[in-house]
Amino acid sequence: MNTTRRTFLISSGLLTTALVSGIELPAFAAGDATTLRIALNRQTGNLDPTVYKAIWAVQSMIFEPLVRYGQGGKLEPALATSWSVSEDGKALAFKLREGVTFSDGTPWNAEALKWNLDRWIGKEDHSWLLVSAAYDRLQIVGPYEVVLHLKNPVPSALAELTTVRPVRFLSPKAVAADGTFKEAVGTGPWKVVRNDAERTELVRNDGYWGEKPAFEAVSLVVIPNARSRVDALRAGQIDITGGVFVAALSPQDARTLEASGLAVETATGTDTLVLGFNPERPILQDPRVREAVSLCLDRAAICEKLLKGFATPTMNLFPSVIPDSGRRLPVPKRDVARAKALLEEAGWKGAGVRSKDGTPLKLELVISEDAVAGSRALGEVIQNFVREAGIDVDLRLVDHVSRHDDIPQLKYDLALFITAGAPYDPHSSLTTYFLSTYRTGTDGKMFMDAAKLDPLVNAALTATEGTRAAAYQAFYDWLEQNHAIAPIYHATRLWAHGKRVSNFSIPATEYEMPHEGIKLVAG
Amino acid sequence: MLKLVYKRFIGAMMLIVIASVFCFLLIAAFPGNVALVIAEQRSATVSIEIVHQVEEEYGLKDPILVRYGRWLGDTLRGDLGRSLRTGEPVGPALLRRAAPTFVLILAGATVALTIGLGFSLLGALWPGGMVDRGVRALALVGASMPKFFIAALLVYAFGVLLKVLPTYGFDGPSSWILPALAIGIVPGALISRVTRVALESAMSRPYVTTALAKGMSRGRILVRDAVPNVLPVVVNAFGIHFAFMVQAAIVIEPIFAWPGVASYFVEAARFRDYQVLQSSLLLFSMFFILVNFVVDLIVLTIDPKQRRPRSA
Repeated sequence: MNTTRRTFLISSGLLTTALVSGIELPAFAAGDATTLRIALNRQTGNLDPTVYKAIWAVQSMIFEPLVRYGQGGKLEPALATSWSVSEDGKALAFKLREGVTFSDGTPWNAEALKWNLDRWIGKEDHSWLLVSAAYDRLQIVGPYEVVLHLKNPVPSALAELTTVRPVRFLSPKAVAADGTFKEAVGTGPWKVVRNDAERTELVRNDGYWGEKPAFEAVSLVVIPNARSRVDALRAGQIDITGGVFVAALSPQDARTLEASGLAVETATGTDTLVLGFNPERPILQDPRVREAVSLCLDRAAICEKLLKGFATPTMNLFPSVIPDSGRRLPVPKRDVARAKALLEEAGWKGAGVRSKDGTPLKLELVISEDAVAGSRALGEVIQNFVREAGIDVDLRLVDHVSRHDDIPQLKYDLALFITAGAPYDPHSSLTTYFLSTYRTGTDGKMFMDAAKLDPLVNAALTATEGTRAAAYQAFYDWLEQNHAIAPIYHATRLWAHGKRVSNFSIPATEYEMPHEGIKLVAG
Repeated sequence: MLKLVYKRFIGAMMLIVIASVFCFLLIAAFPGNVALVIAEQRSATVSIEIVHQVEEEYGLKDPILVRYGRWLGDTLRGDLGRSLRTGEPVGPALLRRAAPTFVLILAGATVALTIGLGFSLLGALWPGGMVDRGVRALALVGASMPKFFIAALLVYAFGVLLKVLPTYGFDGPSSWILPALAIGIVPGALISRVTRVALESAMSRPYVTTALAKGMSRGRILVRDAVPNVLPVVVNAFGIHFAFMVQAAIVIEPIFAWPGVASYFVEAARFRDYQVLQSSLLLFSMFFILVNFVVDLIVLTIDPKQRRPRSA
């Protein structure tokens, strides 16, 4: 037995020494001037443009649309050089860019366009895009000329065609014989060379038709932990982090990075955080109660303290960078006295938590950190704000899946929503969050009124060029007069980058990656 | 001896069966509809019809026993299903991701063992002296710090300030150092305390006094007589901490962006990817049970007292 014991001791000692000495310290490489390193918060995933899985911004580096969504919603040519909409709004004609090839050499033309449209347009799964729901047929006029015929006019059709999925173009040769997706080959400035759980690596598409990137490769590294991304940027081990859907940078982290001398880039948010009221709850059917809740909120303090100044207080459904976003509304100062008076008037009385006919003024606010980052802290602040007026708000914390189960079934009194943002708005949030006839499985409603609000929504969605602004304004006016929603802020878009990066600019939407125009130096 | 091994083996097998039931039930009983998560990947805004269609396809409305039977059958045949989030088969993904987790746990165990044995032996060589007290204080501090805090300190010191080690990724030995320290320091400190106390009581036994009286050196007695006697205690303590490193990996892997099984589990939990959750949970349970089984075997080998038949 002695032998066994000794052998065990000696061998475990040897094993330990071997393992420890096996770890050597190679020189740690700093970034070279040819590769841009961007952090991702999760694995990119399946890049197939017709599947809703990958990180949009990565897909947008590889695949291109017919028309691009520029700053402020201005449409710019991409794979189409020009386009026109017929008088009745039912035919969209496109002239395709000539001399473009996919990065595998397959030519881009009307045939390739048709092959791509056949994969999604008019199909049930994609009918959330109005252009897909209204699709009639494709007319091929020439090798570089097509007309898209719709069953009814869709004013948002061009904006929808700028989105990432499912509308962007894949090489017809990038699929297997049975039509299933094989590899991510597009016409864009980057080609995929690696895509797995650790990173997605892209190299420059030297045959790109547009302005070629100034550096050779992009390494998109998966760092799920927000704290670790901030450390990696400070340590100079990544170059860029940020973007709501890429690797969101919290306002606190942005201030930390600023303090350590790194560049934090900001742009006006394209979305809005809104406190929505369940219109089916009797307590909330009284507009005075809704107004009272809204008046209790100190929007400026929320933006200043909670979002560290990286947000703009608002009473509008959309920020002004969104097309047809309507007249700007003044943001009221917090007014608890007026809120109390409104509640008294509505019959909610008593000290502490108010009540009416024996019913206490209790409301439940559903919070999901997965759906709205930072919403737990915001919920607690709202809870305290309204308590002063005698409204008791309970917070119910749920995860992503539970939220998506409860919200569509209207199992809440109050909930926090974020509008869809560019390029989907204004049309997308109107349909999703306000139209009572459109019931989605996941998103729920900010407010609903089949009799009065639906006609206004439909009028705005179908209005033609000349009357559109007025139709949208009528819808916004109704929301305002009825205190239907309580918009809180437009969160500032945040990106941060290291010293190696210059000429950085934030793209027009959260669905694109900042890479255009960037210059890199070794460091 | 063989009979004992056999008995422990049967016990371990039964535990695995029980664990499989829990792995399935815990995940299946979560609130919220999984079909929504799947449906969200088919369409940007999901209609109720698509959700119902998904429920049909995946048999999510079947009774729970039917679903357990189907899952167990598939798992035994080696088919762990496909990830709901990425669509890739779970089996190969788990295999590929096992390597980083394996490296993390082994490297962490090395750190833990080095700290645990080193500190306690140093202390026992000069009991009550400066080294002993210093080491004891260090062990107390180490054992009291949460692992994510240790990880943050290490990253800040070696990544941000000194810029000598990578702060993320699984790219060769230099990238293993910080995660191994982050995961190994706490168990190391705890093991050192347990071992130090055991050594102290061993060193006050009569055979040590006899040996000292015979003129043998303290170091020689420590290594030749005391250490073998406390080894079962060390192995048991180490076994427990080794098994718990899987749990610690759930914290450490995401911090260092390691593509291991533990971070796979964390991602899956966020997205209710139940195929991945059930399989990785089962894998963790099996690892835990296996480690305990192996520790039992080692203790049986090195501790003769354990092998005596237990007669009342």
